[in-house]
Amino acid sequence: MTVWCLVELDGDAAADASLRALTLARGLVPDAAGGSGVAAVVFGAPPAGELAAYGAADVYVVSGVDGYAPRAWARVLAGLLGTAAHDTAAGGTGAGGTAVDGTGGSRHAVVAAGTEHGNEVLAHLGAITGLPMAANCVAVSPSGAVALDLVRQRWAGLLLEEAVLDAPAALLTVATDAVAAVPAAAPGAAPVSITVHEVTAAVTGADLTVRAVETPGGTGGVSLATARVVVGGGRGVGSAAGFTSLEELAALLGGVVGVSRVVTSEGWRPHSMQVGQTGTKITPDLYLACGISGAIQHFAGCSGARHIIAVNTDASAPMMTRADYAVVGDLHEVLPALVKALRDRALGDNRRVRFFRVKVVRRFPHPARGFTQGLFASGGTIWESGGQYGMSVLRRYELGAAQVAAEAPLPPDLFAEGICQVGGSIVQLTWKERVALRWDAATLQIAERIRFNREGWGICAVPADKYASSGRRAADVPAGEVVTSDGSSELVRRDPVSLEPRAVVHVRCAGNRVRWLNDLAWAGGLVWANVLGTTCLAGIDLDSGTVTDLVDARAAGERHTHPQMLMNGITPLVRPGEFLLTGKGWRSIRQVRLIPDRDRGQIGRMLAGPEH
Amino acid sequence: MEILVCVKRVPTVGGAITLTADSRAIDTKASGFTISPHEECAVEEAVRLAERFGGSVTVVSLGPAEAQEQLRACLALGASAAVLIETAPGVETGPIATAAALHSVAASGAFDLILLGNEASDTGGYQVGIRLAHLLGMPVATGAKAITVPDDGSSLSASRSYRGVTETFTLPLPCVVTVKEGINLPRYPSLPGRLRAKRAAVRRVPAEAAGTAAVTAGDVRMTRLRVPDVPRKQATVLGQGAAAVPALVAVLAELGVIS
Repeated sequence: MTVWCLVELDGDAAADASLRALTLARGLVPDAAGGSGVAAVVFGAPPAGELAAYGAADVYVVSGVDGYAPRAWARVLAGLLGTAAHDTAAGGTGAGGTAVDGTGGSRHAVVAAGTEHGNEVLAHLGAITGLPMAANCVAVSPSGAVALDLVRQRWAGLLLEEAVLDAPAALLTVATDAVAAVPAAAPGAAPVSITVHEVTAAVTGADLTVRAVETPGGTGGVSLATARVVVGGGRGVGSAAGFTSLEELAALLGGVVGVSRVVTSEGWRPHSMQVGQTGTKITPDLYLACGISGAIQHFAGCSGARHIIAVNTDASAPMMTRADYAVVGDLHEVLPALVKALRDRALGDNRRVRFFRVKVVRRFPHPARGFTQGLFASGGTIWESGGQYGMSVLRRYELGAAQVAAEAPLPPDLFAEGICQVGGSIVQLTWKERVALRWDAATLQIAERIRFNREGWGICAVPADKYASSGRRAADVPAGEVVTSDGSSELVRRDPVSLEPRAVVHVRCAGNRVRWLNDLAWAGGLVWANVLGTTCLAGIDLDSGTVTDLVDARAAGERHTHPQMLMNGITPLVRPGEFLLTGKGWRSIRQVRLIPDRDRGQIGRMLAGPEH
Repeated sequence: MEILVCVKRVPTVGGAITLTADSRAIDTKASGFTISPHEECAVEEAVRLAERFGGSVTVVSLGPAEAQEQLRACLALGASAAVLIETAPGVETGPIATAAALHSVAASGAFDLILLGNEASDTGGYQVGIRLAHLLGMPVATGAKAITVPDDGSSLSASRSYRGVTETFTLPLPCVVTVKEGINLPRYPSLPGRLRAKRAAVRRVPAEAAGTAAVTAGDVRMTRLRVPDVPRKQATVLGQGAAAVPALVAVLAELGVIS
C-alpha cells in the first residue's frame, strides 16, 4: 500500500493545510512495515525537512508542469498511482509506505488538503481514474480488508457524514479546520531521513489547456481570513452608512470589518467581506458580532474565533446565546460609546510617548537641490533619490561636497521614491508604477526591475540582528528585511531581495492611526518616519506599530513658499540620536541632534498630517 | 450563447440542523427548500451572458418531483427552459452518478457553456462539475469569482483569489465553469418572470433513463449523519446599552485586544 499526499507550497514552506493533510495521511499507513511513511508529492522545490518531520518517508518532486494546472497535476498523481498499482501486482512494494497487501485500509490512497487546489486536483483525479473521492474528511480509519470508514464535513462542517469508502484507491481531501497538524516524531528524536525522487510529468496538451495565470491580489492589507480582530455587522446595522462606527472600531482595534450574508445581498457591503459558509472562514482572537442574529451558515464561518462578543437588541438571538460575552442593546448606541471610551483611554496613554525637539549642529550643501524622495548615508557617502516624471535620478555624493559625484537617470515613465541599501545594491521604489529598481551600487546600472504591490513612498533596510546593539552602521549589516511606506498608516515588512510582503504593521500613536508615513530610516531599534506635510519624525516600534518616540524637527525646517518643498529625506548618522534631514529643493542638508522635550501637542500636529 | 446551469434542491437551514429519526437526512418538516447560493449566482451569471450575447439559458436539476419548485424559481430569474432528472423520493445520489445523469442532458444539447455551483451547500462533494467536464471532454475551471468573455464570445476567463494571489484561467468554449457566491448580486425575480415561470413546462426525465439506476454504486456510501457537538457556552451578559461600555472595555483589555 502506498499513501500519497499532495503537498501545496506557501512560499518556500509546506502550506499549513497540507501539514494537516500529512498528519491524517500518516494514520493510513499500517504500522506493520515499521517506520514507513507517507510519500509526499510536490510541484516545486520540496521543503524536505519539514515533510520528513510530518512523517513523509519519500518525496516525489515533479517537474515539467509550470505553475498550477489542475488536470495536469491530477494526471501526474494518476501516473504515480498506476505505477504503484503495477508494483503491487508484481509482488513488489510501492514507494513510501510499504506493506503487505491487505493489511488494513484500501490498497492505495491519495490525500490532499481540502483547499481549492486540493479539492480540485483530487476531483480531476477521480474523474481520470473513475474512482470515488471524499472531500473534507475529518477522520479516517481502516474497516475490513480494503474499505475505509471515514467522517467528512457537509454544510461546511455544520453537519458530519459517517461513510464507507470501498475502492482500490481512496481519494481523500482533509478539512482545513478540523485536523490539527502534528509532527510525526517528538522534538529531539533522531532526525528522520527522506528519499527524494525526481518525476517528470507525462501530461498531454489537453491537460495543460487550463492553467492559472497569477497576478498579485488586493492591496496586501490585513485580510479577513487572518485578522486578529473582526468587527462583524449584520442586518441590525440597517444601512450601508450604518457601518461607520464598525469601521472606526475596527481601526482602533487593529482589525477589519466582516459582514453577514444579508449585508451583501442588500448590497451594503461587497461579498469579499462576507463571513460564513459561502464567504470567508475567520479565525480571529476576537469576533465582535454586532446586529447579527447568527444563522447557522454564519457560524460555519465564525466558529473558529477564540472569543465572541455579541451586541444585539434581542437577548435570545443565537449569536447572543453562543457568544462568550453579550451586550443587550442597539449597536448604534453601544459602538459610538465604545469608540469614545477607547479614544479617551488612549489619550490617557500619552505619557508613554517620548518627546524630542532637534538642534541643528551643522549644515551641509544639498548638491543639485534635488526633489528629494529618499536619502541615506553610508559612511560619508550620501545616496539620494530625486523624483518627478522625466527627471527622476539616483545620485551619489560625499557629505559636504557641493557637487554630485555620480548620477544616473531613470526611464522617463518612472517617478523615483525612497531608497535603501541591500548588500551591494541600492533598492529604489517608484511612486505609482508598481515597480522597484535594484541598482548596482558600484556601476550605477539598473540590475533588476522588481514587481511591487503598492504605491512606493519610503523604504529602509532593517538588519537581521535588529535589536543587537552593535556599533556598526545599519548599511554595513546584512538586511534581514526591508520596510516600506505608501503614505498610509501602514508599513509593510518585506523580503529584502524579492520585496514580497511578509507582514503589515499598523502604525498608531495614542490609539489613533498615524497616516502620511513618508521617508523611512532605521536607527536605534526603531523605524523613523517623517510624516508628510509636518515637521514630525515618528519613531515606530516595528513589532507593535506603536509610536514610542516623537520628534518635532521644526527647528531644522527651511522656509519655502512653494507648497511642494516639504521636509523629506531622513537618514541616521553613526552617532546615536543624530540624523541628517533635508527636503525637496532645500538648500542644505542639516545634521540634527535629538533633545528631550515635553508634550507640547506634537501628537495632534502629527495626526493632522498635511491637510492643516 | 447556449448555456446550461445545473442546480440542486437543498434544505433551507436556519438556526439549527435537526436530523430525521434514522439520522440519514435533515428533517425538513419545519423548513423549506432552496438552491445553493453558489447556484443562484450561476443562474444570474448565465442570464447576464445570454442577455449580452443572445441565446438561451436552460436549467437542469437531479432530484425528486418537488425540485420543479427550484427549477421554476430559476425560470423566474430569466432561464427559458428547465429539465428535471427525476429521482425517487428520499434518494441521495452520489457525485459520480450525478455527473453521469447531468451528462445525459448536457450532451443532448449544443451548449457553449455549462455552469454549476462550486459545491452543493448540503453534501459539499466538490467534484460534480469536474466529473461532468471529463465526461463531456470539455475544459473546466472551478471556484470562479469573476467571469469575463471577450466581445467575440470565443473564450472565457474565470478568476478567483487563492492564498492572496488572483488566479485567472482562460478556457476555449465550450467549457464547464463552477462559480462561487460573490461573482454577482442575483436579481430578485420580476412579477412577469414569476407568472411566466408558473406556466412554463418543466421537461421531466426519469433518472433510470438518464443512466443513474445505481445511484451510489462505486461511490462513497453514507451510513449516517450527525450534528457535531458544539461546546455549550453560557454568555456573560455585560449589561444593557451604552452602560455596558466600561465592562466591555475591561473585557477587551483582558482578552489582550487593547493594551
